[in-house]
Amino acid sequence: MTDPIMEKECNLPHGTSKQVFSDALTKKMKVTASDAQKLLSDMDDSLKLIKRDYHFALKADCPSARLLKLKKKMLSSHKEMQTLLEQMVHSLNLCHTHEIDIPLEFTTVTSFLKTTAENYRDFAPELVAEIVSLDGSSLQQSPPSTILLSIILKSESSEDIIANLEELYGVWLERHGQWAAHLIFYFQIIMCIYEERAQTLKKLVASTAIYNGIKYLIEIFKP
Amino acid sequence: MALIRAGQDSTASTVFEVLTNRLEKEKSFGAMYTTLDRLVDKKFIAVSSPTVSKGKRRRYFSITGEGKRALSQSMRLTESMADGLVIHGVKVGALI
Repeated sequence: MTDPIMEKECNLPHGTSKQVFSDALTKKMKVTASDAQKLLSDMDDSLKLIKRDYHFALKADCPSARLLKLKKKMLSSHKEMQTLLEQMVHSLNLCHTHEIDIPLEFTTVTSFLKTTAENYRDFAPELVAEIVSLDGSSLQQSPPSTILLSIILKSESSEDIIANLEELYGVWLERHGQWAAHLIFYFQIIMCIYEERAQTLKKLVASTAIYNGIKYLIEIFKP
Repeated sequence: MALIRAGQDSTASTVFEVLTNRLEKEKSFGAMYTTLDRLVDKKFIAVSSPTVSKGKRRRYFSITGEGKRALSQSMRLTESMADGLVIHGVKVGALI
């Protein structure tokens, strides 16, 4: 920020969190320009890290679920910055975001998003629409009940299995649609229970066989 | 191999996704999970102590040195068994 556009009536401490800063702006509290710049640059640093992770994952040919997760993270971080900038413009009665120094990474991610969206006109509504659609789809993506797994399997393994299946449900939903994803999910639950039970049964059979073998040997060598 | 492709400290779902992407076929998650468990018992795979993520205890799998050794040994054995073998006019050794 070039001008001291925010008057010094309330000095927020350095390292102020996004929430406190955002609240301060909503409550029309006056904050210093350096506070805003510092916060924006902190957020920009974290956005840079997320972007780096995303590009690494893209190069490493990571599974689509991980890529989607990182993209969501990048979008939400970008959205946070966008909201903060809009709040700043609104509460400071500025005409344009041009009056604020836009951080470098934010600009890069914006242009990245521009290239990934077709018929892109105004990035803010487009981005919001994308975020909303992602959030909406995640709401619809709530997987079917996993209570059967929680009841039948041991809690230590069932919790991990459920979390993994819920992650995979998003992928199945994307690939096959909701109906098929539901079916696959239930099928995988049944298979998990079957495999777990089969494993236990195998161990039981093996231990019974060993027990019977020992018993037989004792009988043979009995004087 | 899927675990190596998925990387260190991978969740079972990541390994499963790598597996289905590579084989281009939907497999049973339960079968893969119990296989991972068995390999953990054999110490070919290390599992990190359960960490809580989104209220659920998660397990992260990584291949151990012993696991890598066992894998390369098994690959060598498969190669030596397939060496010079021809099925339906195709050299099996060349496929590995």
